[in-house]
Formats: sequence, C-alpha cells, structure tokens
Amino acid sequence: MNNEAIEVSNGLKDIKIEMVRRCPMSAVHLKCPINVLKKEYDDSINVKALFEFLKQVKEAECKADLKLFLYSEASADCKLSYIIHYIREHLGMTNRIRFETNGWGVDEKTLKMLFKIGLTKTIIVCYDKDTYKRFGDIQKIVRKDLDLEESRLRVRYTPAEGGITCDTDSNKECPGYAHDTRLSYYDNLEGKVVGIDPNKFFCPRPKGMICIQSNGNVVNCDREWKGKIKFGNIYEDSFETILLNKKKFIDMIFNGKLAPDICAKRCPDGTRVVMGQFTRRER
Amino acid sequence: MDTIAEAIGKIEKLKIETTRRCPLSIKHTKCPVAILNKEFNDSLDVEVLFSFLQKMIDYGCKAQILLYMYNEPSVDCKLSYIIHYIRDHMGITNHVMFDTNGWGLDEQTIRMLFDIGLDRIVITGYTDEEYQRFKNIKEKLFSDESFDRTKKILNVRAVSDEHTQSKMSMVETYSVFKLDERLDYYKAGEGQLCNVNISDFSCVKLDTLLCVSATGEVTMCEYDWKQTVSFGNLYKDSLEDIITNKIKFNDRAYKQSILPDVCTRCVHYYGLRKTNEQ
Repeated sequence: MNNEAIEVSNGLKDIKIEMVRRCPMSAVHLKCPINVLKKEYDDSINVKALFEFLKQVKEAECKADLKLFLYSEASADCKLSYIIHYIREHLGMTNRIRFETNGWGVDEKTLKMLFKIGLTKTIIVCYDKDTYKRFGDIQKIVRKDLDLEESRLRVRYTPAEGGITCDTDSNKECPGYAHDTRLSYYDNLEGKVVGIDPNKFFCPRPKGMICIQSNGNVVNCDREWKGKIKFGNIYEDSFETILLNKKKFIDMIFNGKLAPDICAKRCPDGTRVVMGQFTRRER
Repeated sequence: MDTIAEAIGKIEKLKIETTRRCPLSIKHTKCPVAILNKEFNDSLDVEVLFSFLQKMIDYGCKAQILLYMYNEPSVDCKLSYIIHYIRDHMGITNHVMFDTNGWGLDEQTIRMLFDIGLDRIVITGYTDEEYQRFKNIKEKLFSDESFDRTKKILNVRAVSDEHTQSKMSMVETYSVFKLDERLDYYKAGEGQLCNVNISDFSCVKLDTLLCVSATGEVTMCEYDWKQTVSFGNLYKDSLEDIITNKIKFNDRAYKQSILPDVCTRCVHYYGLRKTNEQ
C-alpha cells in the first residue's frame, strides 16, 4: 500500500459501519436522521463486500475500532452476531468491536452472547428512566458473570429532548444535548468550502474516522449525516483508494485552511460552537 | 430410551422463541407477545439451546426447526449466529425456517440468511407497501444468477390490518381468519383439564409439535400462549424428563380423553370447535 495511504490508515481511530438503516424507535424519534435516510435507501450492507473490505483493513494493519452502528439500531439487526463472529473467527481481526444501542434489542442473555463471541464494548443509551434502571440491573449481572471490565459495558440515560444525562458508573449528571439539532445542520448552507484557522479546528474526525453507509458509500463523519463528503464506495473502491481520497480532504483542512461549511459553521465538534445548552468538550 | 426416541421421531416441528420482542407489538396490541414481553423481557440462552438441539439430533430428531413463536425473529441480533452455529458447528441438516412480518428484512439480509444456511422464510406483509416491497425483493433475488437458490424458499403473503383476509403472492385470496382470537382462548376455565370426545379431536400438534419459549419452558403448542401446559424447562430438566412428561400428557389425552381447556377453544381443534359452536 502507498505510504500516504498507510499514514492515513495509521491515523484512523474509528471505522463506523452502518449495517442497516432501521431503528424500532425511529417512529418515536421523528427528527432522527434515520427517518430521512431510510426513505432514500432501505437496504442493508452486503456482508460479503463488507468482509472483503475489512480484509483489506486487516492487511493494512489498521488498528481502528470497528463501530457497528451509525444511526441504525445495531441490536435490532439479525446480521449483527454473525458479523461479529466472522470478523473474529474468519477474518481473525483483533480490532476492538463496539456498538452503541438504545437497548431495544438487547437483554442479559443477548449481551452475554455478544461478548462471548467477540464484542469488545457496548454503550446502552437509555431514553427513559425505566429502561435506565432495567439496564443498570442487567449491567451488574453481566459484569459479574463474565468478569467484565467496567468500561466494556456502559449504561447511560439521555432524554431525547435534551436535558440532564447520567451514567450508572459516574453518578455524575451533566448537561445533554437535543439530538434533533442534527436535522438542521444543513439549513441555509450552500455546500461550499470556507476558510478556517486550523489551529481553532478541533474536530478529530477528518483524521480519525471513516463511516461506511449501508449503501457502501464511505463518508467522512457520522454527524454529517447526509454524507456529502464522500471518499468512495466499498463496492467499487479499494481501501487504499478511499484512504488516498481522505488524504486530500485532510490536506485541504490542515494545509489548505479550508473546510466544508457544515463542519466550520454548524457541527459542534468542528469549531466548538455552542449549540443550544451544549458546548463540546475539547478532545 | 426407545420410547423417548420414538416420541422425538414423531415431532415434525420444533418451534423456538429465541427472544420476546416485536416492533409491531405496539400496533398489534392483541398479539400475545404484547402481553408476554411485559412478563419476561430476556432471551433464550443460546448455549442451552444448542445443547438441547444436539440431544434432540442425537435421538434422531428430523423435525423442522422454526426460529419463531410470537416474536419477530428478524430483529433478534442473535439470529444469524444461531443459524450459522446450527449449520456449521453442529452440522445439523434439518430444515431451518422462520415466519416474519419482514420488519428487519431487506434484500441483502435475506441473501445473507440464505447463504449461511436458512432454508425458508415466510414473510407476512401487513400493508400493501410491505407486501409489494417483498414481492419485488423476491423477484430480484430469484432472478439473480449469482444467488444460490437451491432448495431456498421465500414465501410472501399479505394480511390486512384487520387480519380478515390474506393472500399469497401466487394465489389471490386463500383464507379468512382472525389472529386476535388467541387472546380469548382462556376466557373460561383457564388452565383446567376437561373431558372431551377424543374422536372429535383433529389436531395433530400433540404428537408433531414441540415449542421452546424464551424462558426455557418446553410447551405443547404455540396456541397455548400462556403456557398452561409445560413439559419442563431447559434450564432445569433433562431432555429425557421433558419428553417423558410429553408422552404421559399425550397418553392421558388419547387414552382418557382429557385435554386442557385451551384446546377446546383453539381454532385448530376443528372437530370440537364445530361441536361447541353447535
């Protein structure tokens, strides 16, 4: 693999994978991007193509975490367990495998099984106090029975409308953010690149993340949910080609001092703009 | 041992509830799963399930393995691993299938499930859009030369919201039934045994069906959804004890004409139902 591609590969921290575009709670969370996205494309990722792509990721010795979710609800996808199993047993990848879930499709036995077949970590984000309590109890049992490190199973409470969030481990309450600002990220933007000061650009995603959408598109970021910043498609392009396209994007930001207007003007991760009550921490 | 093997040999369908969830249970409030998942919201332990299946196979079980009960299997993230394990690790060749409302399915998911060893899917669309979506997927999949369709079956049917009419993709209208009668099965004499005229009893499920619920209970029939008749529990009882209990239960039914109250209301107990209505 080309040295430039290897450099980008080494910088990757997360490869996010949208296996499917469904969530049982999307009917309740009407402003979640998945409601818009699934109208455009309602199929799943082709697992054979995904495994071929991951094989290239392994050959490149990329150590990024494999995060098996985007806006989708991974726990309601019947492919999930086989994908985890295949990554571990057939591809022999040792990368950390993680997903975040609203808990819809998990329970004590399901969590135990997923950990046993190779899941590294999951964060359960509960949208109501009853679910938070339920998973707090399950968390204790699973951690004890599997002798699991605390960090591998986290349970959080985050009301969808924003407000106070908490975590079973820290008991610390902190201000949350309203998920639904995401739908307005694109309002009144022209989709252009604008000048920035790279020293004030705090987002780790240009260097640290790629997202694979269920239609195979590889895009820059999960927050830029329309996927306008695209580096290729796993059905057509190699991992190397995708990395080289990403390299051009990284150069544009950090050498060219230009960023897409959505990153520079809207995203709370980009320039630490205050959105509603919420200010992103510096990372 | 021979008696156990003989009873297992008669079983044609092994229904397994791997979980108790369905995204449509909010809408279908009269579906038993909407009630059952409030009582128990965990899953079946897959290691216990695999051990049970292995013993059944060792006794010569040739039954179809049906990976559903009232739950929606397509939203169970364990499903693909279970199918893969049954095929590749246990080497089980029995027919494996499930019924689904299609909520968690699409072309690529169906393709993958067939690739890893599933034999058949029966999809019931509850809206015209869903029915049409799956008809299109079926056409596309089975006309794709790269898809290995050997012995793969994909049935697509539609059921109206009121559950009064249904149609298969190949036949226009084939039956009229109401799914939601099931909640009323227990209205009187819940859990009671009663004397019946066994000659009216036309249900074959006593011999040919065995159900495993997400709680591990091994039961007579999915229509007895409150599990008033249990032969044992996978977490506590040996397979031999469970099958022995089933044999005793069937003997009592056939020799003494004693059946659970729920059977006398079941739509599938055609003979008695007709008698009752008269």
